[in-house]
Amino acid sequence: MVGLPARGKTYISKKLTRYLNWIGVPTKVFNVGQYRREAVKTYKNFEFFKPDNEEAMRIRKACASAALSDVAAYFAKEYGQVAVFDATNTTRERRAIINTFAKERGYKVFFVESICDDPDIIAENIKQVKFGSPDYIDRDIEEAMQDFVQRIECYKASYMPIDDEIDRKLSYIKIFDVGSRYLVNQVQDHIQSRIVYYLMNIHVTPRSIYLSRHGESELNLLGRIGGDSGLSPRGHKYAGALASFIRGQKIKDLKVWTSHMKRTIQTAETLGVQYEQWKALNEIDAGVCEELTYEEIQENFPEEFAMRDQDKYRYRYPKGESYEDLVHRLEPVIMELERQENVLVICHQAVMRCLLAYFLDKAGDELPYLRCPLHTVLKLTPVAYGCKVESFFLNIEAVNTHREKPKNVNVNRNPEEALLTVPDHI
Amino acid sequence: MPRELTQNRIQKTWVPTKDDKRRATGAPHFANPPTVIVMVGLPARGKTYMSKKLTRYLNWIGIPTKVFNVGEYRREAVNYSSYDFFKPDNESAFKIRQQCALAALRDVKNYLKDEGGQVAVFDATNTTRERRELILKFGKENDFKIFFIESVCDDPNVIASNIMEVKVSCPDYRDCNKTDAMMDFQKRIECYKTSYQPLDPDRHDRELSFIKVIDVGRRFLVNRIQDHIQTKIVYYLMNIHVQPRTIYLCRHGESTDNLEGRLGGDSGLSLRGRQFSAALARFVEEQQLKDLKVWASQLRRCIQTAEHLGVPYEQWKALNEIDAGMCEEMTYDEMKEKFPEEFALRDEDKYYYRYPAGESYQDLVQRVEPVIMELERQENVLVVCHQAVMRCLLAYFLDKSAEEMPYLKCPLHTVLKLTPVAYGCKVESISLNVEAVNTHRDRPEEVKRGPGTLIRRNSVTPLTSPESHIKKPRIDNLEEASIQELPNSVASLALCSSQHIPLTLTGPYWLGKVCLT
Repeated sequence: MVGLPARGKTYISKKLTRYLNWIGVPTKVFNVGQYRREAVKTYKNFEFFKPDNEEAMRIRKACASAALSDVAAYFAKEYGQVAVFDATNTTRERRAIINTFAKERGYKVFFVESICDDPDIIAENIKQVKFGSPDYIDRDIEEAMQDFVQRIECYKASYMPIDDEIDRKLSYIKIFDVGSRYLVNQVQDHIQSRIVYYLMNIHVTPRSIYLSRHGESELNLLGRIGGDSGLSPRGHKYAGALASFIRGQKIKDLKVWTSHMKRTIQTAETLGVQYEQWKALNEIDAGVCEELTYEEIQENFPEEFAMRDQDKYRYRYPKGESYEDLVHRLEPVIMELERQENVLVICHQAVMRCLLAYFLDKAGDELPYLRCPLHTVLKLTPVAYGCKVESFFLNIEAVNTHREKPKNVNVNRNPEEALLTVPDHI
Repeated sequence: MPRELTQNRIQKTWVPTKDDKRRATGAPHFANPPTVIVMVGLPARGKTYMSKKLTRYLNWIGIPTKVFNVGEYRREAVNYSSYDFFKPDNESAFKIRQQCALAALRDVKNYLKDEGGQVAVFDATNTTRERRELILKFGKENDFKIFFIESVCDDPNVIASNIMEVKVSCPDYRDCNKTDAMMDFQKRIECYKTSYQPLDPDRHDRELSFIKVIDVGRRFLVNRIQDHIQTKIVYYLMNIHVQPRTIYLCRHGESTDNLEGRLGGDSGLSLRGRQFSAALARFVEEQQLKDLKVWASQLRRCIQTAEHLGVPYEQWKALNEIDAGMCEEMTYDEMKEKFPEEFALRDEDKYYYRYPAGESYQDLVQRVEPVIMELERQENVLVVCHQAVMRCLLAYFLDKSAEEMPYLKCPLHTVLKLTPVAYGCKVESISLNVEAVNTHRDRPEEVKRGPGTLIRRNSVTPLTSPESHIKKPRIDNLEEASIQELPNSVASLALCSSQHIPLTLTGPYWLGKVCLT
């Protein structure tokens, strides 16, 4: 990352890392500020960052080196594929060190520079994330703001933005004014192209994303998975409750998305507003197990059932899909969600788990077990570096469709052990 | 009361009963106001190349798009003599050029308002602020979004190469030899240079939405993207390149299911299929390609085929054959017997038809789009896939419409070699001389062709980029020039079959004339 303090570098680092991990590219952030906080236990004031503070300079250089070592270890020993080096990196000298480091080891380097001179945006950034930082935890807000502004000044004198002529051989993207303009230079490969595409689609306008499943369906009642059934009477009631809830939220310009399956469309119909159908939001395809109960799966495909419990994320139903396939299928939905503002997505259990895992940064081992009960709306609001989640159960009873991982996942287990965690149904 | 839903019999989508006739889309199309893409740049900067390629892509993903090339309007109006026509002080020529631009804009308006178009690509130099102001005003009056694509390039080698590739053979230089043509064209470029005002992101043009493509994609400046379609356009432009390369498309070797006439499934290769794979390995070696990437689907028959090549290959689930849902592993006869209605519906509208609990060609296009994007990024690639998938990919490269796509001929044991050339794609069909069953089903004669497949706006329906064949614009009185649309099949055949390829292969291959429909 490159840029003065409070230009959104850490915000971008964390968001990008979350996205890359979700699509299956092992990525990690290395924030040099954290290394500095480890080395210098207490932060006094901006004087630490003065260019003539030699001792501090030495510490800061050491921190950067330590972070780079960890990057090397991440690639060599932890199967990392992308490392995000999150620091100001505002001098040509520092960037040359990084390029040398990478060249020696055969790593590719891609710079993301954030440039912004709008004082309102900067003040807002400082409020959002700096006051809560460990550096300012016991300070008065006015004092903290003053100090931080001085901190930025320390960097300004020596700031050398990436230069279009001198740095013409480097691969980079410059982001101006929170995305109003981009300059992209020498994209080398697929992953850099995806990174650029992602960065060009995200925005920071406040908004909320509502995730919900369809209302309870006829097959839900019977404990059967998949299929394309309609809503049960309680499901219809939920649709009505959802409509009231949405009206109560008084959302500006809400977009509503559903899958191609009857139950989500029926749910959306009750809202009485326009909605768009995405085939990509269809429930996971259970292949040969479509419309079976868990008991029937255990009876007919006990081995498959066990293997699913062993690795629910990667397990692919015969002639069907896996969660991993789902993530891949949902990527355009996520990309469009990033572009949009207020959206209500009416989808299915596995699909909702995948989307939620993206927003809440949940890895493959947790993703298939996230709780997404029927008749509950999750409201996601971006805040600071993450996402606030509020859960609204709309008070219409429904069956439970959540199956926890049983203790015994061995293929030789007894049927009872396999069926231990199956929720009740008719 | 929530509306009653019915399931559309062809697409299997659930729609409110009253709306039964509406063609559904696979993914939302974020109904945007129509967009005019305005090319900007000196001659020989790749504007027409980008216009045509972008249009082909947008049509393939279902966004009705058309190019309006002002040069073509000019050629209708006057006979070209020399670069003097373009001299800045040539007043009468200037007037003609102005009229041509206006005529083209009128046609843009018709296309976007009355003909169901969603994107119009206004392909001209548009190098002055004055001209761009005119277009912005036009956009504002008509509620069209305006997006500029400027191509900036000062590398003399690239420019000379462009001129050789597409200019010396263009109608303007029909009666000239190459050197004369080159010299005249260079002088033509000079005429534009003095008045060229590039887009200025810092001051004058800071509020405009545009992308500057610098030095054939080494660098991009992107300003104020407004919406989804502009993001997709930018992403596409950032992924394409002009390095010479070749794409090979072929199906897996004949499978045991193929022998029985069964659809789908996941069977292995037959004996002849294995022979084909070996032949394919020999073929690939003989092509002596630099850095060939090999891609296969995740189905066994493709992987077995790829394995024979003895080189690393990548598996893409997105390349899997179309999912025939409840009809998987049936023969066509069994399908006709068990699901007679479905069978008939499929023949009625093969592009939109979705197998029950399966997929349609329309779904396939969406599924396969990331493959196309990555193919654009890559250089030499061999894609080992399946009949329906290969038809989708081929339709993209050869600009075939949704009507034609499901009937493109992609026989077993035949490699299609695609080479980008000028504004299009050269196709060579190479049969590797290993016998196989024929899996192609022609469009049945007895199916009543209805009053033309209604291509609706906002549907994922690949359209062939319309040839901008226009009648002479009446430049003396301001009458609308009407655009004669050639029937799609004729226009696109012209694009591919006009190339007659000399036999470059020796040995056991039969190089056939390409006849894909």
